[in-house]
Amino acid sequence: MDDIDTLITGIITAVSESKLPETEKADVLAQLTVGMHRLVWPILLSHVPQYLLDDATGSPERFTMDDYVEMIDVALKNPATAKEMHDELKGALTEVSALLTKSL
Amino acid sequence: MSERPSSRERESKKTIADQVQAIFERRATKGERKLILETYETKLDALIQKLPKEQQDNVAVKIQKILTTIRGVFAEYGARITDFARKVFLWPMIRSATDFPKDKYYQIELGRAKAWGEFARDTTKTATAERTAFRDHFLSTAVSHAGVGGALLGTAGIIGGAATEGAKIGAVVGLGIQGAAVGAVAGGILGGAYSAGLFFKDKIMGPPVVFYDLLAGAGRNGVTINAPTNVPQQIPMIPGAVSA
Repeated sequence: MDDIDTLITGIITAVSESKLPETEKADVLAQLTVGMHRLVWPILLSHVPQYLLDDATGSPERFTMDDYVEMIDVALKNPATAKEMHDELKGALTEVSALLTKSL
Repeated sequence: MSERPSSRERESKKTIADQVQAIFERRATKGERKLILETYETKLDALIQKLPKEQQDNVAVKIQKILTTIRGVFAEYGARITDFARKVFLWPMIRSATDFPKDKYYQIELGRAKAWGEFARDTTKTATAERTAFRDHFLSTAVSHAGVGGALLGTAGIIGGAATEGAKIGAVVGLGIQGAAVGAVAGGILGGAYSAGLFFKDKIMGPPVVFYDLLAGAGRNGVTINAPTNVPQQIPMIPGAVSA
């Protein structure tokens, strides 16, 4: 089990076994999902070359799936992108884990 | 006139979910990310939401390209973050294929994805309706796993059917958008206990790789999954939950 997996497992277990009402449990897990999505997009975009971002937003009518693929592929091929996503997700999940330990 | 509550009092009124949201929001808007989000997020999101439609075969080839990249760069960080990257970055492409099977379950998941999308853009405000919708989506998972009206709520009943039929790819595509269901299908095929906890984990992190391998490699109606031989790991179940 990798560190992200370990953290997620711990968080789900803590929430599941808590005395929170079911709706609040669901809300925590939903916010975890939303937050993770929310976090990785700006990291990815920060590694997309500026000209690709400007081309895409400057000529939206010409934006194709190939353009999307190029943006994703170029950004991800920078090794710093995956590392940053991993480190930030791990950091955030560690914070969430600590929050749950303190609050539940 | 009531007194303005102190910051400590305001903090204490936040739910745990609010505080989880704040943790991610702070990191998502840290440093240059805030400017990037402000400059590009809305415009790019509009573009991604409306990617031009393409044929399934074309999309499958492009998915394969991104899959190869994702596998390569996330390999050293583990399987779960790799699954998560697939989930986040491939979904707009899957949605844009004209002829991936789009049954009613796909539409259900599409609706949920849209609800999430709306909310995700608006985390600094109180997007109550979207948040409630997404919360209830998770809640329905717990309920369906508890065996209370599972079939009516969709997930558990669908999984059982899909597994029984050999999990045709149509069902996989329809179910797989949120990820959890594909893991559940794999779990069902394997006959192993598929806990609600694991179901939640799959839902959060995305489908196991088998989904995208099939999507990129086969991608046609009626193609049968060759189930992986690994057994899903166990994590504690939510009290009262049962296997799908």
